[in-house]
Amino acid sequence: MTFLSVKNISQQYFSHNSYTKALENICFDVSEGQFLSLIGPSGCGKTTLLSIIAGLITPTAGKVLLEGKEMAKEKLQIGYMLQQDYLFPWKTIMENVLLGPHIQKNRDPSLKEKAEQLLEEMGIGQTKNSYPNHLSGGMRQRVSLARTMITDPKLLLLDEPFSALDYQTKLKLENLVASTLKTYKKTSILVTHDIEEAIAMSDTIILLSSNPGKIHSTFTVPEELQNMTPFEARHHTTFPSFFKKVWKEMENLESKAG
Amino acid sequence: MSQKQDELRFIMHKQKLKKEKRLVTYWQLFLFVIFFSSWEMFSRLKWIDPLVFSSPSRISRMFMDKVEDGSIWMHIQVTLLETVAGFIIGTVAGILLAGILWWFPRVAKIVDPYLVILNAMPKVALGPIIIVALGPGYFSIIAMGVVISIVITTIVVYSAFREVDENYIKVLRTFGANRFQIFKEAIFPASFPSMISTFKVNVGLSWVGVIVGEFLVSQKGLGYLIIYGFQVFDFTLVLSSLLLIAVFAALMYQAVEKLEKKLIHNR
Ligand SMILES: Nc1ncnc2c1ncn2[C@@H]1O[C@H](COP(=O)(O)OP(=O)(O)OP(=O)(O)O)[C@@H](O)[C@H]1O
Ligand SMILES: [Mg+2]
Repeated sequence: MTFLSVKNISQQYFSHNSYTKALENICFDVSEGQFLSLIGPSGCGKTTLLSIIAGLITPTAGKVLLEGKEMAKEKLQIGYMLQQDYLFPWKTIMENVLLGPHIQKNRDPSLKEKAEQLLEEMGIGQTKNSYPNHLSGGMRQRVSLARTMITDPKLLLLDEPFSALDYQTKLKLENLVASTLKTYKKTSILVTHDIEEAIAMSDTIILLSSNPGKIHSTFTVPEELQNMTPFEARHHTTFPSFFKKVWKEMENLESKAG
Repeated sequence: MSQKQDELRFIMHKQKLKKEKRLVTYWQLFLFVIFFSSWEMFSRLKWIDPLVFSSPSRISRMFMDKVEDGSIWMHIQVTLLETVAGFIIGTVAGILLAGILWWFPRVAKIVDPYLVILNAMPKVALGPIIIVALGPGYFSIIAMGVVISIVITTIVVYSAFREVDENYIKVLRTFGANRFQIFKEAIFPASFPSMISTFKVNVGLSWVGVIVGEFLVSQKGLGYLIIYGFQVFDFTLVLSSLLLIAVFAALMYQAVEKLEKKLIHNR
């Protein structure tokens, strides 16, 4: 059985006197442990698709199945990191990271240690007692990532999780996230603008075209890159040629749109 | 060397702030003194009618007498109790109503025009009806304090609830939060700043409601002293009651500001 299956999803946004078609007939399957990336031009519906998979938006048509069951009942197994951090300004960093367990009434004392360790690994351990307003954009994004990872979800949805980070931190966190996911055999979907990041991190890449968002093409990342850490993959000899392939496809898309 | 300079600049910056603050305080004291001394002087020189405008010395003499015979305490106590009760009941009930409207969005849509009309109506005009319905006593006066602040509190707090960023709710929903948890973790704390500003408005409103209530019931309290002083043409009494009201209203406002500092520390 496929782990996650997205079936004929279409989404319309309605306003007073018109509507926007954000997604049209999106279909794909993700198997357990797979890492999928969604790329595509701004406004093509990536965030919308992720919100639908997370069960936050009910699509106007189609459905999403997690292990054969409708999404609405499976919410607790999903971790969704929104495009903006949305840390709660009246909670400390620690309280923000532990928000998920707090809501789920999980009072396991070891969680606090785990949270501290996560923050430490992300290089922001010293901020745990501060409030979000005192943190930089990149620091906040890392807290948001920690908040998503702490609940140990089966399916991880990440909406541009590294966009606000400097290059070095970004590479470090890519490695951290990839190794965590691999060790615990998590399934994930990553939205990104960065083709290199998509190649370095994932097994499969889906390129969406816009107006309305449709699947333009699907790439399978070369086997040898899949098994490497993102950092190694970026320096492997097959990386540039595969990058060119994806790049070209994206160019095609833009020239058609323009 | 450069660190020393930095330290020096910091000290100078602090001194500048201190100086500014001192200057403001001096001016405030100066205005206070000027106001009361010119009032006293004009009254003695009969540039203003001492029967109507009295004078600070007469007011303080009357105040001393009243403190000595103890009658003023009862009036202060009564009015303060009514005002604080009216303020707390009106504010808390308004927030509760706003919560109910948030919980049942359809109810909110249905009652919207009624709320608008209730808000536009001058609530003190309900005074006679309230007094006949609840009897001339504490209840009616507190009810006046409540009625005058409850509707505006409901409207302001409810719109604050609705303006909370959708995405905080999204974050909570990804963790499987129920409606009550969404309210407790996001909606309510995110609305603290608007709630505090309604508190500040309500301090003033509940004084208006209670004083008008005391005018109408005319039994005791500072509002009663004002209306009594008016009837017997004792404007020293009117003005001293007015000064007392000003002092206590300012104290209540200070208390709300203390609360504000406590609730909104890190935003
Ligand atoms: N709540 C909404 N109401 C109406 N239209 C919306 C809403 N959210 C998104 N849209 C529209 O749907 C389309 C897809 O938006 P979406 O946010 O999913 O794009 P995206 O691919 O995530 O873009 P980006 O890369 O810039 O984040 C856009 O045309 C946008 O204007
Ligand atoms: Mg997006």
